[in-house]
Amino acid sequence: MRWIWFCCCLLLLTTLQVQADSAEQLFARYEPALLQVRVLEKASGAKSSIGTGFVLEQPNLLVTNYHVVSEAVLFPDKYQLEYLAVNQQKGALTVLAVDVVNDLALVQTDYQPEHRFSIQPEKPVQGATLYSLGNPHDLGMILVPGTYNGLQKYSYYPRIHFTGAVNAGMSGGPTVDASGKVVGVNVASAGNQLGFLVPADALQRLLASYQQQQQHDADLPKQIAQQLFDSQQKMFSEILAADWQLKDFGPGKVPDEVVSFIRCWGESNVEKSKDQLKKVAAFCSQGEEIFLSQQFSTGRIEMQFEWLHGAGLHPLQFFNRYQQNISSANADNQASKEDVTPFECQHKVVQQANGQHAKTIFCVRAYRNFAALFDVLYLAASLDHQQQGVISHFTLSGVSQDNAQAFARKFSEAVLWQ
Amino acid sequence: MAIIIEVLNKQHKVTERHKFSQHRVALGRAYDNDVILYDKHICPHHAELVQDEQGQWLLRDLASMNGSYLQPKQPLTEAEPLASGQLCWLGEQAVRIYDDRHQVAPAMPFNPLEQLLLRCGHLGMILLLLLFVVLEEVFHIWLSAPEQQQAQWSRSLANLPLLLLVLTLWPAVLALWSKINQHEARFLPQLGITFIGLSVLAVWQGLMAIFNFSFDGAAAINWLQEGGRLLIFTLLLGANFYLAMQVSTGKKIAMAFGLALLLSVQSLGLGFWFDESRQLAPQFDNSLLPLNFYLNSPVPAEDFAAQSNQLFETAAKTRQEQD
Repeated sequence: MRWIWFCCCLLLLTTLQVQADSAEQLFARYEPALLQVRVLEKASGAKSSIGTGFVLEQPNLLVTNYHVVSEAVLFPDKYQLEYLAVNQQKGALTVLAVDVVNDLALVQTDYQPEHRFSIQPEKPVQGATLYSLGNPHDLGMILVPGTYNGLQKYSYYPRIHFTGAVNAGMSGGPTVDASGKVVGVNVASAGNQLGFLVPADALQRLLASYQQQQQHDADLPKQIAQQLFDSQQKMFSEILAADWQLKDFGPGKVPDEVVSFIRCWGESNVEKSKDQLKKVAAFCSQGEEIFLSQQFSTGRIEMQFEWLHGAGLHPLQFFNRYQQNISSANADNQASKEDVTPFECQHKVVQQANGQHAKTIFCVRAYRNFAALFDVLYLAASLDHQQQGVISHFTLSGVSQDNAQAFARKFSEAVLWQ
Repeated sequence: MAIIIEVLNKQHKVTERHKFSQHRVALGRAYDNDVILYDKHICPHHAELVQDEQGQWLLRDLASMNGSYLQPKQPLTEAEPLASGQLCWLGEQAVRIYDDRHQVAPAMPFNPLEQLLLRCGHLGMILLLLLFVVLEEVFHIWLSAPEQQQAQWSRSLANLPLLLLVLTLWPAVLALWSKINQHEARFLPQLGITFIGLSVLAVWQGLMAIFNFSFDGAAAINWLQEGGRLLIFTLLLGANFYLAMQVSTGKKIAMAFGLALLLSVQSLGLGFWFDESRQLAPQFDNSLLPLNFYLNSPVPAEDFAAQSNQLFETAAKTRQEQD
């Protein structure tokens, strides 16, 4: 009996030993194929941001995140790229292709490591141990073990949920399985052991499309514009084709989670506050953003509904408070004045087909660098009652005119109010 | 031929007027002079006015400490002849000399505008306007603080006397200015004018709030509101200055307009133009009132949707202009 117990212990120790060895071997084998990607400001020569990249076996290219190299893509006059290898070798990098929707970039390099990464064509099983590689906070290349937990639920853009610490600077690094094959690219973290990876098949699609059109010269902004346009086209065709489910909201009905990737929450002050103005609010959003630059993101959808009622208020008092509630509507994506035009707005009292009245505000701004894409803001405040009102509001970012107008029509018809 | 001597203050306003029929008039601080002056820089026997055989009046300095002058910085060394209406200085004290045949300006008819402005000093009307301004203020407090939590109400109401005090400060300043310069304060007319201006302004703002809602925040209404406010400010300040100052009408209007413009621009908020985040935020009219205040006919939903094409076009055009 004692012998058996002893054997078990020995066995356990050896298996642990084997695992530890494999992670160590993995790191030793692949560390030279990992590069630190640096964005250098041309004027000062100093690095403005850093990330990680890895060299692929076939084709011989460096893979990283689009958000790591975005400044060099959008402002080639101001920024340049450089890599730093483990052996302290340095060299220039050139971006060949990007996928902004999946946050990937293919980069040309002269660096030739002995062992390179290859892509795992199979999906890992739930709970499989993965190793994330990268250079967090410029501290040097490290290996972080974690587990594969499937694709992120409810997310429109597919992301692997990796339970392990992915930190700033590791972006663009590979996450590999025990055999050393790439299953995803580090992209984001939601804190405390919640990491997100771009799945390897997105990388494979980018490689395929790149190899197809290799004869074309790389007009990256045009590529990005096309990707943004295609992405919103796909997302909105799904939303507009959906049969919108409505839910009860105060005295009316508003759209609920109309597609799987739009999530809704709600809150109210009816119970707790002494305020004579009662508010019930519901929010729905597709909160995943497409990163374009440090000051510019797009791809979000947000809907908000607010029901205000003040039974004890004089109509003038109620409307004074009501007005304050619609004063501060703004876009919910980040943008600077180099990225977008100022908002153009129309604001009118509108009579709906069913006879209801609403003060309706519709604002549009165009993307300066990407044709035919807009940010849109809509807000309607019902006017048919003296002491209550419903504010229905949505913002869309990076959307075509047709989709924005179709969405506005579907939205304004869906909000019902007795 | 008699001589008239006007003693002037620093603003050259007459403080005393003397008339003499003798041929010699002594001026100085001592009590045996004909004109007794009290400026401390004047000698007891400072100067004298004498009439020669031809009837010409001369000013002679009596070896005074600080001198007598017909021209600045040129003390008299001998007797100098004087013209009627001429200004002379004994030390720092200005006096003006006239003979009794000197022409005076014709009588001024009653000024109807001035009469009208003076009638604004009617106490009953002022009290009525004061009540109106207070009620308007109370209405705004009621509108924005409807919780009727005692503390907030009483705090807002306690500020009312302070507000009235501040509003009274402006006519008080004008009255003080006027008192110094013209010996006439006219405080009540100034107070009346100020409260008429405030009341008209309040009515105008209320009217414009309804108009703004009715015409969906049209730019024309915005201009009308700003223009109207500028006009009200100009008229109010113009009336104030008309009573308080003794400068030409053109100057009064220019001053009133300048100050009104300053007030209007200040209320528009200069910071707006420098604040980049405000410029990025959408600018829209958020005015909401009960539907019975809507004097216009609402836009059908299809028309509103169709009009949005224009927004996309404008935005796309703006984008190309920048490229």
